[in-house]
Amino acid sequence: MNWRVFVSLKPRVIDHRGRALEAEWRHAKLPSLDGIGTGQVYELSGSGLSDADVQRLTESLLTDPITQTGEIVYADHRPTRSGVRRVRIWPKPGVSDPPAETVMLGARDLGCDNIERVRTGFAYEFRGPVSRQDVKTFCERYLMNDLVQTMEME
Amino acid sequence: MIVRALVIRCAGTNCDEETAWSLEEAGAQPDRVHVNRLVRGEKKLQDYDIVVIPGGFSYGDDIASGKVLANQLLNRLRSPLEEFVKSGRPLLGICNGFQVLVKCGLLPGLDGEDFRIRVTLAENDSGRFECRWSYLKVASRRCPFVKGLPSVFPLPVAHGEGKFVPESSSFLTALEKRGQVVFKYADAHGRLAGYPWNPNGSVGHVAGLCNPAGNVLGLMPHPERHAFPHQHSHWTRLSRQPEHGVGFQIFKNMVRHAMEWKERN
Amino acid sequence: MNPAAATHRIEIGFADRSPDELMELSRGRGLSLNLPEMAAIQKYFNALGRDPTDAELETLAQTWSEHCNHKSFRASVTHTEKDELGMDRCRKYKNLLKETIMRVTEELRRPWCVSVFKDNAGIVSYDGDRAIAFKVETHNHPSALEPYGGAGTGLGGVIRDIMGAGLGARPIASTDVFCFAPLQGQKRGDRGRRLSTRRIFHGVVSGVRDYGNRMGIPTVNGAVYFDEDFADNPLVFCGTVGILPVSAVHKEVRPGDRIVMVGGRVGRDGIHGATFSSDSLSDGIPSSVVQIGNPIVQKKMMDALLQARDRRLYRGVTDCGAGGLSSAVGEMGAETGASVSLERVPLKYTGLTPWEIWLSESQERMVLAVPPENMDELRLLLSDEDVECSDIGEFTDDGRLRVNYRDERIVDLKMSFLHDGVPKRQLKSFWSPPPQKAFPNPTLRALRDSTHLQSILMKVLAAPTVASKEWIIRQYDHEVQGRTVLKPLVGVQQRGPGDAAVLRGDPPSMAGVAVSNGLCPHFSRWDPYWMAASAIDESIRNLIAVGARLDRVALLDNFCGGDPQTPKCMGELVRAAQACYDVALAYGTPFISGKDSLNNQFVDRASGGKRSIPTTLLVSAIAGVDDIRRLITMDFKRAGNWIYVLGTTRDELGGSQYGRLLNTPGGEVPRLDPKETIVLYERLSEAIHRGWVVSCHDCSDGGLGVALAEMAIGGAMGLHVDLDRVPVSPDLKAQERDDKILFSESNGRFVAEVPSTQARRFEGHLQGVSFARVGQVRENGRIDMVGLTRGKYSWSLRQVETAWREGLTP
Repeated sequence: MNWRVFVSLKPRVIDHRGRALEAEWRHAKLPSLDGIGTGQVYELSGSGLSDADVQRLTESLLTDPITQTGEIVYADHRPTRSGVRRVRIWPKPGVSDPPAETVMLGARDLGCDNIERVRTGFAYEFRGPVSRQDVKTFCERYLMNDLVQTMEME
Repeated sequence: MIVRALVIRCAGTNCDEETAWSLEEAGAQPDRVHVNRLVRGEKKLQDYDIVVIPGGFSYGDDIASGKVLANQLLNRLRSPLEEFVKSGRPLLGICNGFQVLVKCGLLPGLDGEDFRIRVTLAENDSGRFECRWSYLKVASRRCPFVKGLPSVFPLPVAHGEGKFVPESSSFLTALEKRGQVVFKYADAHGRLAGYPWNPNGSVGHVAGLCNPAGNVLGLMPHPERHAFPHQHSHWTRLSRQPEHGVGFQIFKNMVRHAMEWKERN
Repeated sequence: MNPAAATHRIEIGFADRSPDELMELSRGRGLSLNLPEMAAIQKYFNALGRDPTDAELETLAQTWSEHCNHKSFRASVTHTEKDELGMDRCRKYKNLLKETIMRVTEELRRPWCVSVFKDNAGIVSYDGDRAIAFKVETHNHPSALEPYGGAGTGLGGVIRDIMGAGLGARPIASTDVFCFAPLQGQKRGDRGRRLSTRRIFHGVVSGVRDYGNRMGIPTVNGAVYFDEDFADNPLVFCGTVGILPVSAVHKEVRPGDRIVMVGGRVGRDGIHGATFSSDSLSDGIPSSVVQIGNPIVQKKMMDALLQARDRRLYRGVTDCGAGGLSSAVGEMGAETGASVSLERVPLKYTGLTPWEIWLSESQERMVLAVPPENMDELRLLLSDEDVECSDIGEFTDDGRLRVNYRDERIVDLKMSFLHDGVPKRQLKSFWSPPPQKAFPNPTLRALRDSTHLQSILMKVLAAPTVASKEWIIRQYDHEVQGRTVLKPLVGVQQRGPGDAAVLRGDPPSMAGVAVSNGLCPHFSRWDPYWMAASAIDESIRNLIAVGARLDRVALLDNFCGGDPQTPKCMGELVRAAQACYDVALAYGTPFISGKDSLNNQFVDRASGGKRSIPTTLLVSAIAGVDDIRRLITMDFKRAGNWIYVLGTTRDELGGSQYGRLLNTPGGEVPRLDPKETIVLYERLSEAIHRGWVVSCHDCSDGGLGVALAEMAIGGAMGLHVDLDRVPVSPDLKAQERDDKILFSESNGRFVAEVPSTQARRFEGHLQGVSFARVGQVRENGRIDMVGLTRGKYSWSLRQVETAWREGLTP
């Protein structure tokens, strides 16, 4: 049983990191795009884990109700959106992932002992008519280091 | 009479030692206690006259600053916390402590709202950690811990997620009307201003809040970093040094408030 | 590989290998051992009648590595120099380190040097029963590969050195010094580099920031130096200061003590050259992992260990750094012997071979020597703080290092062979002075045009090495722990660059520790001797400027250089080491600790050409201060106060910021005469102590011009100065060059601000020393100067500040 929770900023909240990345995109002289959005992604797995568990974790632990929204996706069946390219950047196997341990700790405080494994990563959204190749190039150059991270593109 | 002060620490708490010094200097007997021991019941909140949640990077700021400790307190120490707050004894949250208090709903802590989250402290507008001195303006004297503080005074901040964000602007107005906005960032003359005087872009320049009863205070700047005169940002320019830094007054007020509480109870 | 079935003891055929085969083995396994070293190992095992195991070979390679052993600095060196007359002069060193840097400390015999060159950090006593521990290290290569993780773990490592100094010191401050290529104009892919300079820069700044902030250690001092020479080899120096009771300085290990590993778990982190082990790929975990550190684990461990120290639950401690357990246990058990059972070591994931567990450089671990009767109490204390600990063996009395995995012996070496068996390196080194070139003269027209000099000051102020680093500094919490009484940024709005940071000890004591640094790599292109001398002088000047005293100063050396097997590179190191001896001895300032990082060079695979960094010496300095209330900062305090220049300005523009602007290799590099400067420093310290001086700033990068501008910016005040009053050498006076006076980077100089009421006393006190009153602090927001030939120069303070603040953009 595998869920992914995507945490992103509510529309009226300014995405500073996204703006900084947009500046980098322009600096890199890549074809213009509409915008870049940033967020976190948490991958939760456990044989006893339920939808209700994940819902509660998302509301009470993983998202800030004032500034963030959480999107729960079961077993990676994420509905695609056109005009948007999504990237996830994860730590490579073996590289430490401290927030993952913290999620487990937080879940136990919420009474949820069913999580067996957590993986945390960064989620990026590239909005506009951007090519897959441009997104890949940008991520490799600015967002990840392939010595310690892997990239997943939708 | 001994005033016992509890300084709660956990993995990543950093400012507990100097917070304890400030409390001791103010006449309290500080006890730095790991939250695990409180959860196990080895030490109890009710045995203390003051509780402080100090600054730091609790749980590494993982997920969001203060969120995990807030979650832990809410789920493991809810009743003792509720009881402590209801009793009217002083509860102070500094920086990370303030983040914890808003993320478990103890601030603004409206009556009957039972730990509901209404505001948050989000990433600084500059997108960076900001370590700098600013000035605070006392916006309301409702909270007894501001007694004796000048209307404008300097204090340092050091945080990456200090931007105060209310759930709505009308909610903020309501808080201000009730006198729950205790401190606002300002310039040296007490004027509300932009960066760097407002170091994080806080909505309404809010730097500190209290609960309706005024016994729970949270602020992003660090009073324990201006408790002694030589911590001042430019003390070498001053011809004379006062006995204490202005932040010390907050601790003094809390100790006095706790003493008065003990006498009454 | 199924761990249950296969053996863990893997022997490497050694006995019959020819020299070529031995070298092939060394290269293939990434051991970095040379032929004499491999031969010594072959001889040892031949005498035993067996082959070494893979773990034994790796253990020897780690312990004998340059990083752990400082082979080049301890080598026998035959050094040849060409002097100014072109004659060869030769000198033989039996052990370069012992005969230069360590010799100063030995000869000075300062009673307050409590533990030097022994432990994980240098330790000096201060304020009665307290002591200070200080260590600075580099983490260059990892930072170039993975800047965020590499720099972060670099700081993590030096923090652990402080946690392992004595029985454990509490870290109270950090310093960071970085050397990069200029940020503009660097692209990824240039010369095959993986990451652009900008990316490395931002990664390093963030990595060190996040680690230090999370550990609650204020970063109070540092520098960022830009030079094209660091394009392929950025340098990252991280240092930490700690405080401990003198009673906790002594540590020991006794036979029977348990070997206890504390902190994080073990993975395949940082294992060098593990390219051969194809088995390890079967779990999907790559064979060698570059790591991101976890400062919270280290913070928890620190909190717990300080309590355990105070309860005296352990007798000895060291950090687990390079070489992992092999180095930590090897060092601690050097005099006694040790026996380890690797199956007791907690792992991050399964599938590690025993030698990987033994050599892993997984972060955030310490090793303790614990009397068995204290184990229960220690376990309880650690578990209260959520810190893992494992009893992995015991210290013995048989002088051997024995490591088992279950019932198989993986390592069995004599400690004496491990630590003293490495053959001494024999190196040849050579140095000759580069051809002298004159510093260019501006055209006559330019000399007469005051705007020319005006624009030079603006450009020098905007040079990235000189420009304001405020936006970097403010990302680092420099106030946590509440001890920072002299901060990195000072002045009216805290914009002026402080010379030294000062931390206060525990209240109610008013004693403190001042920390500074000195760095000028570019001078090495002229003469590494004067580069080293200037770096030492700069670090000391920075301390004197705030009010510390010379007789309390202790130094740390950190050398970064090219390939020591190259006579030219080694020659530069020798020359710099020689200056360390000469200058530190003359000043009476002992070295208490040091490190070196060599082989910082780039090999162009296409052409085979090598390009190395200039020999770089970072000098870090500390001084105990009796009363922090008597200290001062560099910002101008009050209009009407007099401005003095102390020390002689000479025609020494070689290597200066001004010279770089003109892109010239000309001019003479700054020299140093400690006999002169000592008198000045002592008089100045006394004057500050007496309260006659209200602000003071040393002259370094950008010379007098930059020093004056920075003091004006810090105080938000203007000034007026007469350049013909500046004390200059006779030959400089004759040249009538205002630009040289303003931008020479001669050593031993300060700008001091003295109220008119104190002027007579101040001047009387400085009689006999080179100094002069040159001007006055003004309220008018302008920087005005009058030149030697009555040329007038004027800048608006606002313009100057803008140029300085915007010189280095994020």
